[in-house]
Amino acid sequence: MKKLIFFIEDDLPTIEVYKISLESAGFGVQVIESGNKAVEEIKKIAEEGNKKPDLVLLDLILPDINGIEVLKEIRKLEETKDIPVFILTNYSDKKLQKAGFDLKSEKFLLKTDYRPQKLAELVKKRLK
Amino acid sequence: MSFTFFQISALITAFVSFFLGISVYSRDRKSRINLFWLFISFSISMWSMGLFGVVFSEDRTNAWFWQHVLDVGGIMIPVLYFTFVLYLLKKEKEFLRTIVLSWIVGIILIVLSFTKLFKTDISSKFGLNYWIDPGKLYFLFPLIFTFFIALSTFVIIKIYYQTHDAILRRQLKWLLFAQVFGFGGGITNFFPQLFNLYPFGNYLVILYVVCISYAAIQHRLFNIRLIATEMLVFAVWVFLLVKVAFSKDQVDLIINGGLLILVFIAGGLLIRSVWKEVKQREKMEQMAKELERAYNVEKEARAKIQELDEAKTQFLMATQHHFRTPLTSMRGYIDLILTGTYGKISPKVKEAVLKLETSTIRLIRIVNELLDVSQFQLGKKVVSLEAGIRIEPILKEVLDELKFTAKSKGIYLKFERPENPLPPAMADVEKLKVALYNIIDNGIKYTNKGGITIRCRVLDNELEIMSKDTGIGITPEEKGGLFAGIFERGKEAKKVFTTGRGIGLYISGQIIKAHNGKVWVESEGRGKGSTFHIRLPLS
Repeated sequence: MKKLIFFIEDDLPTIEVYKISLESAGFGVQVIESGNKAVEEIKKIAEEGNKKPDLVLLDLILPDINGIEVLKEIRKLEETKDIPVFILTNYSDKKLQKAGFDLKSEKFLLKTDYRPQKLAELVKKRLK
Repeated sequence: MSFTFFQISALITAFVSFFLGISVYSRDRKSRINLFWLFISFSISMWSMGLFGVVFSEDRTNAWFWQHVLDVGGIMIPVLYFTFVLYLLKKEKEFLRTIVLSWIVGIILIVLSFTKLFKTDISSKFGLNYWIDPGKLYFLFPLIFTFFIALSTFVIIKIYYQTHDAILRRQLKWLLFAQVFGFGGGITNFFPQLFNLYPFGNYLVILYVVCISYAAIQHRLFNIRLIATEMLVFAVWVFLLVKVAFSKDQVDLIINGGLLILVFIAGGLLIRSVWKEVKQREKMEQMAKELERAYNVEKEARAKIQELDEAKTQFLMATQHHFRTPLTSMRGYIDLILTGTYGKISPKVKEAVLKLETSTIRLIRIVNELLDVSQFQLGKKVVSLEAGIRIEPILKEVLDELKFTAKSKGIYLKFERPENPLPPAMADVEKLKVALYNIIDNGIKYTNKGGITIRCRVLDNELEIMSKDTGIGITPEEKGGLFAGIFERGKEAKKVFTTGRGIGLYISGQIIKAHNGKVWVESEGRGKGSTFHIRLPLS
């Protein structure tokens, strides 16, 4: 069974390039384009027993709420608190990085440093 | 000859009022309030001196003269007081017509006071040598006196309840007290001629001085604190002087004279010390005010800087997003093309896409550099140091990235591994990688023959990384600007590597500095290669 990745990202070209690569690497990708929708999906896991993702790729700047808020929600719920999260962003801000690590994000990746294949390899390595 | 208490109190009031007026006026001659206070003091002094003259004179001619002085002074008191109060409360424009009216009425009354309609004669009353015999229109004087004093009181009370200025409220309170004594006592001087009663309240007039003085000292009326001391001392001097002048016998004269000298010296010293203290306090108050002002200015400036800083941060954040987002997808699509996601591509297309990838990566690097430079120049903290970082894997990663660049130039890139493993250092892995990359990449760019050798060594509390190249070398003039953010390269450097911007070394320098480390370059000159030294503190 394919491992599921929640890809929380709002920029369409970015979604396309990473999604293709991740799917080629054998992962199932569920794209979530806003922070609030992400929070809804996370709650559904706890409340409706929806399938839990094996890993979350989380952008920080989303159209509504920021990624750190989404991460807080993930860590709050018993059912989702242990899901590995990689922050995938275009911000190299140290404060945000710290906030992410404080909420147990495993990696803080700069999108421009991680071309699709490199990211797919990293995810594969983590979920081996 | 001896004085009655009535006479002495009149004399003291006359002198003290005179002195108070001059003292207040001399502190600030430009103040209109002080000027009106001077006139009021003069009129009170004139009235009181006139009163003394009337009750003290033994012949009618003298007493008649002093009665005129008394009347003129007395008539002017309510007029001047009314004007003074309105100026003090800044209501002079609102009451301009009433002020003018009071002056017209005052002048008419003064003219009238020289006629039989105002006073018919003077004669002895209640044991006082002389006292006025009022004429038919004399009643106008107490009437007008009462009217303007009452109007002044009304305005004072009204403002007292309207203002939120605590100092003004206290000033007004004491002005009202002064009025009660001054005018309350003074008005009893109308009693003998109106109700055939002794002017018992006259003694109270002296108390108005005490009230005004208190207001001056404690509540900054006229901005003077010294006046009370001066007046008190002066009053005692006058009193003793009078006693000396009218001593009963020689023994009395010696005692009074000695006392006067002693009080004169002590009073002088007292005034001097109070004067010094007041000056010092005023100076301290001024300094405190200036300090407060400076503090407020600084506080405002700090808030503005913070605001500006926040705006700059927001700008930087937005810039990062706007630049990097399209670059991410550009690089992503290139990656997908090269890995065959969109089908097999011809070697020619592959070559073109590879060039596209190189340019995109270069653009990403430029954007990163620009953002780093902006952050450093804004004084932002861009480095998060962690203890226990192993440097060798970082170096290896950087060298792996750069080995193809060196190979493509036909130069070597060697890492001479230390015999013993390197101890961990304090570092920010990502940023240190950037710093080392820039320095080694710089060596590759400016080396056309030979190559680059990387060595490490451990010093007392530091780890040193050296990047020695066989490149174009650096002249002593060029050395200074390398890490300084001048972004201007030497002529030779421009010839060898045309597209360089000189930003990389500046960023490396800033990153190493943020690691509490040191970075410098050594070169024997043009054509003799260079060695870059980086020192980092150990964990």
